[in-house]
This record gives sequence, C-alpha cells and structure tokens, in this order.
Amino acid sequence: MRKKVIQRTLLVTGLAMASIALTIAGCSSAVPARPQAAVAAPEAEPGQPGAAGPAGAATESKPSSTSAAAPAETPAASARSGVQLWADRCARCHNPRPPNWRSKADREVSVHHMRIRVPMTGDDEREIIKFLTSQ
Amino acid sequence: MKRALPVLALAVLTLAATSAGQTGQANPGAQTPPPAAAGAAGPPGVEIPTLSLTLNADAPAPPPAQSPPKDAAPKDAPPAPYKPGGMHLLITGDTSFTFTAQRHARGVFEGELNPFFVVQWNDRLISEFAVESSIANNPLGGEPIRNMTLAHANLFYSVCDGLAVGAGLFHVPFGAHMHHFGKGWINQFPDDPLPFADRSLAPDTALGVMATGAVPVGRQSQLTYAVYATDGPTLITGDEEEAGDLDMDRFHNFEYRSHNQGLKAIGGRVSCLPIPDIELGFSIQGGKVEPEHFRNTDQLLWGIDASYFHEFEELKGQVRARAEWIWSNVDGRTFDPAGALGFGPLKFNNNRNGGYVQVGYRPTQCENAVLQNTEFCLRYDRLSISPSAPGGGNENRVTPGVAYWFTPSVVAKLAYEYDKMQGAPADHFLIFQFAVGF
Repeated sequence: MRKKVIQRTLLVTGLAMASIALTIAGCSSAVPARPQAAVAAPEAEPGQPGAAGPAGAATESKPSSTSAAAPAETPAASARSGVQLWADRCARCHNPRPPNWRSKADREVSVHHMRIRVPMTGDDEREIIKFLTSQ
Repeated sequence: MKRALPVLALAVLTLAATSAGQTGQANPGAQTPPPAAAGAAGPPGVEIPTLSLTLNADAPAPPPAQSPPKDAAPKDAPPAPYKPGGMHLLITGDTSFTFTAQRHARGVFEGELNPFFVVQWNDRLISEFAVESSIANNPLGGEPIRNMTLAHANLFYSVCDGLAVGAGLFHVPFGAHMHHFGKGWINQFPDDPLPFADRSLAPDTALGVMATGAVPVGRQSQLTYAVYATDGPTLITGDEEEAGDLDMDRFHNFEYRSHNQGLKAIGGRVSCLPIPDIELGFSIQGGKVEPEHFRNTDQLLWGIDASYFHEFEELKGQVRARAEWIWSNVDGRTFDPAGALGFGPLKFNNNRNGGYVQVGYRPTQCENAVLQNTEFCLRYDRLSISPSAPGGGNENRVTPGVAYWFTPSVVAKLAYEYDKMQGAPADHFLIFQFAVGF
C-alpha cells in the first residue's frame, strides 16, 4: 500500500512539475501562436534570394534530410529553414506530400493541426507554412 | 455527472470559439494580406483534386436574387475586394482495403473509411472531428462485422508558441505508434504491432483534457511534451476470455460500453529530439481501473519509444527504424471469486509488457523507378501476459513485408506473418493492404 502511495505521488508530482516547467519554457516566447509572418511570406520566386526553398525541393516528393539545401538565413529566421523543417518534421512519421498538394489555405490548416498533433514549436510551424505557401 | 463535465466543458469552449470566429475579435488573421484563393493555389497546369471547403474565405459574392438593373456595373468590372474569413474546414482522412489469408481458416476482407475533419475557427482555435468505420466478412460465417466509432471530437487553443490546451475526445499521446504511425497510409505494415492490436496495452482515444507543446533546446534540438487527464480504462472482470484486460475500446459503435464510474487517468509523454532524425520518448499513465466490487485497483502504464529516419548516400536510400516497449502493471485481483460466472476463482499476476522493433529500407536513389518506390520492411513484435491469465502466455511475431508507394500517401503492402503463441502451434498469415491517405 505504501509503495502504491509513493508511486502515485511520484507520478502526480513528476507530471505536474514537468508540465509547469515546460509551460513556462514554452510561454517564455512573446510571439503569438500564428503571427502574420506565415501568411505575409515574401512572394519571392522559388530559387530566388529570399525564397523559402530551392525550386527543386518544391516539387520533390521524397525530400532528403541531407540533400535539402538551406537558403541564406536572416537574423529573424529560425535556426533551420522551412524546407529543412518540412523535410525533417514530416518525413519522420510519413512520406511528405508535395508542397502544392493542397490549396494554400489548406496547407496552413494542415500544418497548424500537425503542430498540435506532433507537436511542433510555433517557430517551426511558421517556417514550414512560409515555405509551403511560397510554392 | 462527473462524466458529463468534459462534454459540458467542450460544449462551452465550442460556443466560445464559434462566437470568437464570427465576431473576428480573436482573429488577428483577418488583418493580414489574404492568402491565395483555394482553387488557384496549385501551380499552373497542375490540377490536384483536394477535398477542402473554405467557408467565408474564398466564396464569391452570392448572385442577386433578381437580375441587375441596366445601369449596373458592366460585366468586366473588377471583382469585389477579397475579404478573408476566419474559419476554415479541411476534410482529410484515410481509407484502406485489407485481405488476410490464414492457413486452415477462411480469408477476411476488410474495408475502412476514416474521414477526418479539421476546423480552424481562428488563428488559435482548432477542432478535430473524426469517424472510423469498417466492414469485414465474418470468417466464422453469418452477418458481416460492422463498426462505426466516433474517434475525435475536440477543441484546442494555442496559448503561445510552446503550449496548446484542449478538451474533448482525442488521441491519447501515450507512446508513439497510435499517435504518430497508426494510420494505414503511414504504417509500412498492414496491421498494428501486438501491444496495439486486439489486446492493446496502450490507450487509443479518450475523453478528457490535454496540454501539449514543444520547446526548442539549442539550435537543432527540441523537447516535446503532452500531459492529459482522461476517463481512464476499466478492468474487465466478468468475461472469461478477457478477465484482467483493460477496456481501451470504450466508444464502440457510438456506445459508451465502459463500466468506468467516473474513474480518471492522468499521464503524459515527453520526447527529446537531440537531432532532427532521432526522437526518443517516454510515456507514463496512472489511475484507478476499478469497476464495481474491485475497490482500490490501480494501473501504472509506462513505455519508451524511439524512431530514426535518415537518407544515406552510401546506401542510396532511406532507412526508417522504430522501436517501442510498454509495461502495464495492474493490481492483481481475484476474478469471479464465488465461481458464479463459471471461470473462478481466478487470480494471477496482472503485469504485462510488449513492444516491437522494426526497420525499413527504401532505395530512393536507385535508378530503377520501381525500386525507388519500394520499401522493404521487417518487424519483430511481442506481447507477454501471465500464463495464468485468460489467453495468457508469450506471443512472438516476425513479419517481413514489402510496401510499394504509388504516391507519398497511396501504398500497396504485402506482408507475411509468422505468429507463435506459447503452448500453441505457430500461425501463418499472408496480408495484403491497399491504403490511401487523402
């Protein structure tokens, strides 16, 4: 009986502490859930400077985490580019569909849904949406 | 009353979301430049059918009820300015057809259709609604076996970058298989591993509340977490063949079959992505599983999982490797103590464990187009239940298989299963499945 009480106490305490710590860490960012960067992505042509990803990666249905080239990073950009994140985050569970497989509006909903399901960070979501909507 | 609380909470949240979506007060996206129209999203010359419906966003102005006056604007006048709406409905899901052949038994044909509706109320609120339906012939003869189950009905709110909270009926984030890899168009094998099959050790869907999110750690690493409180599983006590199992399938055919009397389970999963190719996860769930007359019966589930995906230049292809193991500790009890049900008194150690290890290789850089789309897979799975329990013993299974990917989400799979149950002759299965994700 004593062992069960200890087990239960440890479980509840551990989960509560982990939740609080992660929530505080996750909320330390002041960036809103889906800022306008996602939908106001620059309309640069793929392959041009400022575009979210290389043109070849846009139509690649089997992206390689090693072969996806990264565009030049800006100070505001996250550590990894949208095309890299799209290749890595999606391919970890399933074959990524081509970026233009869904309509642009559907891509945003789909990625936002995956952000909660996987889960992903808000930065990752914005970078992936920026890449997908630029295709 | 207690059981109705999560439903009431979901209803209130849904109403709030609907109200917010209609007024636009919680929809900063309305101030943003409009996204391209849904119908014009694809590249020129490429028509890809999508099952999507945009509400309030891309619909043109409705035609007037009467013909316009003669002095109305000419037909070639520029269209009215685009006004994006705040709500969007995405229809997705999967369907599959499976044929299972077993030595000395009739084959089983099974069809599944699992539509999945995602409603984005505004930039922060999102809902999932899903129904799972299937029909199969009965290998023993008689009526076909039909199933239809409400699988998802929930609402999630993105509080900030690292936190989303939700309530309703959702996939329980325990382990990785059911939460990430369970769909037919994702799973390389035509069936689920033993710990997630008929006598599942892990919860699938449940009614409750959840908080989830991800936190960046350093430049490439991430930590993801999910914690939840749900109506937990209940110990099955009155069935001779299932006594000691946990009842995980509680919403069968839209019926709440469980004998759960307000019992709760709390749990969570934490995973670490040290590099993008690797994910290591740890899950835990605890709670009471006591039906009537079985007071103070607790469960403690915990599991570990790992997944790896990488494309090797040296191997000219992709390698996917996954492993997962689950331990289930449930307090031992005496079932049918008076012998009234005809199988008692029965008491056994109710600790169980099971898991799987699988690897797949797809030569994506091979010059042969057929081989490029072919994935060769091998899986070992095991379920260990006390030999004294009904249907107990160690079950080991080895499954070589091959999957051909017509597109990233259309796949045909063929697998051979060698299934060895302790104290019984080995079973052999040949399974074919065609699965589509849309």
